[in-house]
Amino acid sequence: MNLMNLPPLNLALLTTSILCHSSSPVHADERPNVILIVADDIGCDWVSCYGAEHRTPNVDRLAREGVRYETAWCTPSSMPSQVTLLTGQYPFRHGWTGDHNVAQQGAKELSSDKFTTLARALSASGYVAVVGGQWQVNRLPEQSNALKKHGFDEHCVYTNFKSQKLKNQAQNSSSQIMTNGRLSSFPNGPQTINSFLIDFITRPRAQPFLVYYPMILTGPATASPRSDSNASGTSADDALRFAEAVTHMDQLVGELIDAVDKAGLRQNTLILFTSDNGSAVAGSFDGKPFEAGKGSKSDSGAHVPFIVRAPFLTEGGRVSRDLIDATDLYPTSLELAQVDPLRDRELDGRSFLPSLRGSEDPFEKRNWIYSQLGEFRMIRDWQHILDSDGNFHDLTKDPLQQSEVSLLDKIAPGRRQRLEMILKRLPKDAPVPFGAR
Amino acid sequence: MSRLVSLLITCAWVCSAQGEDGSDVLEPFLESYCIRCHGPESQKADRRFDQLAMHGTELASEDAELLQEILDQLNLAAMPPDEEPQPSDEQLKQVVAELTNMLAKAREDARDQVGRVVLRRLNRAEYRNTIRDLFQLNMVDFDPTITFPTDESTDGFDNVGEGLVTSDYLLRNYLDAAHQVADKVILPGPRPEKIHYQMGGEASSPSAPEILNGVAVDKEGRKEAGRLFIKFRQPLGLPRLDKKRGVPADGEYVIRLSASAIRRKSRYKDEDLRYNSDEPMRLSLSIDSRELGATAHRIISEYEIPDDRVIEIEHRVWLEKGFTFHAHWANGPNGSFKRILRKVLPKYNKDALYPIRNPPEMYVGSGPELHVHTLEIEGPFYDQWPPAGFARFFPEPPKKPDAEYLDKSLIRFAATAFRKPISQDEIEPYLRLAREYFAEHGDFWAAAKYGLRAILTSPNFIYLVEENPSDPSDRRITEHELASRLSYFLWSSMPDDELRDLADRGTLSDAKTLRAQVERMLGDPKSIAFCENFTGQWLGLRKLGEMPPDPEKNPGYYEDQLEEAMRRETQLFFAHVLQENRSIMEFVHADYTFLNTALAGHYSLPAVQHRGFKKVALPPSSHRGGLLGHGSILTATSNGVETQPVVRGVWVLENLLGTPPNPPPPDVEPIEPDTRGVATIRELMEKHRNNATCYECHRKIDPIGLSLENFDYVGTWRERYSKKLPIDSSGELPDGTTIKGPEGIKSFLLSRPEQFTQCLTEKLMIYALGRRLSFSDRDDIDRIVAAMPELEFGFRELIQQIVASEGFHSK
Repeated sequence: MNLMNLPPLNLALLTTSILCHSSSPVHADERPNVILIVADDIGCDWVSCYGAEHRTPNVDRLAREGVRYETAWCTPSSMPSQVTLLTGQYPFRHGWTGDHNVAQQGAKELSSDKFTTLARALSASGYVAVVGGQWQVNRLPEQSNALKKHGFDEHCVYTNFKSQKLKNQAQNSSSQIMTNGRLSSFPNGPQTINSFLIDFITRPRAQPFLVYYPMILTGPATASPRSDSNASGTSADDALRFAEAVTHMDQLVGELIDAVDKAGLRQNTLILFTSDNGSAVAGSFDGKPFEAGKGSKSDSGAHVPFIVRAPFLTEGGRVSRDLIDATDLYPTSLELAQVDPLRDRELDGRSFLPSLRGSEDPFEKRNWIYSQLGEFRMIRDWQHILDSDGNFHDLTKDPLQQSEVSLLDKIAPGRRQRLEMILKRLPKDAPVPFGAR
Repeated sequence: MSRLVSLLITCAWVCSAQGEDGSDVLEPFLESYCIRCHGPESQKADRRFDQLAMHGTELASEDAELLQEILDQLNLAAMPPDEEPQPSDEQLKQVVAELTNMLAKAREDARDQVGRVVLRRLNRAEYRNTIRDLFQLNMVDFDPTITFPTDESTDGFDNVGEGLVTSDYLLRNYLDAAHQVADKVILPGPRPEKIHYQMGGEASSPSAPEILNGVAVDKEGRKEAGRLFIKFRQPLGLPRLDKKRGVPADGEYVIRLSASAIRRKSRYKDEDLRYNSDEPMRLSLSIDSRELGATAHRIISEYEIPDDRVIEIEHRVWLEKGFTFHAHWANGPNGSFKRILRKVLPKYNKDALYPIRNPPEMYVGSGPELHVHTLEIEGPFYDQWPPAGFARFFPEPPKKPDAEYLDKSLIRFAATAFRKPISQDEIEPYLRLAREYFAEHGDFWAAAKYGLRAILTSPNFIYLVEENPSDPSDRRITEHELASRLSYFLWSSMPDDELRDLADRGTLSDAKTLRAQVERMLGDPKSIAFCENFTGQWLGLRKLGEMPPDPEKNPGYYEDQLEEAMRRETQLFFAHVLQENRSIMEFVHADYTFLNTALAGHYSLPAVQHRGFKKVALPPSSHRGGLLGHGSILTATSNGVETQPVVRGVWVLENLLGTPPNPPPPDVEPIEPDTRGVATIRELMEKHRNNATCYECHRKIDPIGLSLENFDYVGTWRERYSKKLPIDSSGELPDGTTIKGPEGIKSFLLSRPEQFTQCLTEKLMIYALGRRLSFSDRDDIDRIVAAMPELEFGFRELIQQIVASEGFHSK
């Protein structure tokens, strides 16, 4: 925070000294740093490197320097996505199949006894972990040590989930932010959290770090997912404000990347940019309006941008059609940190490091990805999507899933059969890990 | 000699002119030794001697030929047969001397009378080559003769005038061919624009290629999981070129590509992929034409692609307008990509379903791949514009060409096309046609094409015209006729400028000049036409592939392209004997041959440490060496399932000994193969013995054919038919010689060099003269055969002898 206020020259000097300092420790831990940026409610239709009309220059820069995945899935809703990212398990396994809002529904919280988050797995191996942004799965600030228990050494998160107005206020009015256990109000929440993370990143230390950054989109249009998905059409006004919010998000991401680069950490840091679900407000591709995917039981609900910059693995500038979903982040991070997965914690994903390194071998990669919302399940491969309601579509020809697959298509039935087979193999939903709804 | 048939002549004819000439000696001789079998009661082998008219001066040519046959048989001691009464040596001497005398006289008489004009049509190959040389065209993919009917073969050769008939159908084809040729060569326009298409690279590609999964692709290459690679046996081409229906103009094009072999060895087993991961990947380039379809498909080159290293390939090739090119993975996995996705992938990946077509993305990147990084074509390039074949007859056309230029050009053209000087009278009709067309339509170049077509369909072009001599006693051919004979003999094409020049100056027939010209012509690459056409017909190589072995049982035969390799072996061997002036007896036996690795393997010989064909010394135990060890001949004389000893025996009699047997009587059933597998073919053929009619010929045929039984139907060596059935390759020839195996038959041939020499000389004479031999050619042949031992049987010398012979210079 103070760093950001220094004149550039001093900053440069300071950075150099940090570099000297950080490389001096006796047993420097060479494992890479990991920064996971999870944007809020943004589908590919708002990110210009995916062909969206809206410009996101900073995210695009990340894509140019890294690998951009064309086909990545989260879940169509924020909370199942967050838990999936943190636990490496599909909703049917961890139980958060929908938006079970801890504060609103009086549900239990994400228990550190039952779940080992990515942060805990990494910090146990010597990483320093930080979370910045939203944390909806524990009651904060009552359970002030919950984040510690989940493995985060530091945090800077919103605490108040009682009001839907929170996010709307976040940008302009003061928000309740808990920074390492202390509650305080800041005039500009997102900027505050961003600065906190930059400060964390640039602090000299001997250990590698993990930054978990579930952002909050500080636009006006992020209403409740359920009501939003049912509302047909968004007013032009809302779209305009949403666009402003995306631009703001992009700027914050840009500042973060700049800080990493200036701190000399570029080479050994993996930065991932993704999102927690499809767009809350419809964006557009190549001038054609897309649909607001958030909460919808379709590809557009789960399809998210997924960009990885890892200079120590790949020169970048690549676009990949490899399949990735939210469960893959966990095993990937474990592999980066050279940590063996815990034996009693099942992981559903697969490390995408081979893909990042440029391996062409499909046997080292996934051949299907999965998503879930409530009891609704869906699965896809590179071309086709099948869901538990029996809908089957060719996404290359029909991205909005509006028409049936042609009966003349000789290939489709086989693809459908294969997806059915895999879908059938997946277990039933686990009992909800929290109390009565 | 016109029927090259040798017979079981035994004795006997009744002379109609007793007491005259040699009949004093002959008559009693024939009466006692021949007439019983070849007389009024019995005419064995269709020969009857009791009606011969034996006056030397009045000897009809048919009778003279019969007498010649008798003489030959007596000389060979082939007749009378062993079981019949034999004449004394003294008697024989007398009769042979008498016959020789009579025939020499008869020939002398006959020669003065024969003198006939040979009017021989160009056969298909000759027409094509003539067009090629006339216009200096690249004729690899341009063939105006493609619809021509197949030329009839007479006395074993398809350039024999008697057999080259002309039909209405052929005439219409000549018109059409002339049309095609005229359109191809009359090119008054500017040099065609160059094209430059590429894929995968960066320049000139409108949309920069995207990097997808680590491989640069553009939209067109984005088909299979975003990879630009050769999908097994499927061709990879430039879509822009394919869409535009090929290259825009005839010319030389440069094809460039870069490729690398990826994962030659992979997790998949070779038998699953149906592929051999031990050999380096090979990429072949083909040229194709959508219009002409499969007939135009031709592999122009093949490259070994190194593992994990990008190789740059550049190939220059002549492409006809409308042709395209494609890259192929020559030794890629066999069968379809679909099969891999359906049947192979499920064995390796639990998420793949059997037997549905799983997503290609699940396979691509895990198996062997032949990547093509860039693919490019540029051209056309020309050494000169307008092309030489056009400039030759239409030099420096004026801006507004007139009738005078038209006349001059067409005269220039006709003088070359007719292969002789032309008179104004001869050319006038053609000029008039073109002039009238010009006057009527006003289009100079259309008129030029019109005139050109008229000349190309003229008998003077289509026929090798030899004019009637003004003085009947002078039957020597003209200088220009000699030039044509020579060039159609050795090149199967028209005389070149040098020959024409010598003919114009009248010095070609000079013995020294002629000899030098033959040497020059044999050294010219065009002499390949002689090697191919002559071996194709003399040795029956054209029959190779008519009854190919079963692909199921002989996969190697097709994978290694043995048929082509065998043909090549024989052609290279023939060309070697010719170029090095080796002894023609090497055709019977040689201690070397030409092999590539596949053929060496086929012959169980050590691998050839060389790409392509190489001269290889043969170990004495190899059973190879000489034509009888060539797979080409052994395969061409089999039916693709088993050997045919009769066919092989006839082949040797016909093509090496020059004594073909008579065709079998029409009522004889061919031998049915014994399917129970107990009897050997030898036992079956023993049945010939029981039938006297069969036995007469088969006692000559069968021993020879059976001696080659150690070579199976594709020419590999075998010691036994099956575990229990060894091969007996011994036999006894009619003259009592016992032979065993191919070595036996070879030493039999080697012991009679004059017989083989005569056989080859006769074959060459037919081919060189383009007509059946007649009785009067015998002098030439005898003289040549007699001269050969002195010339150490050199093959080039034999050609020289034929070119120098009386017959070659006479009408």
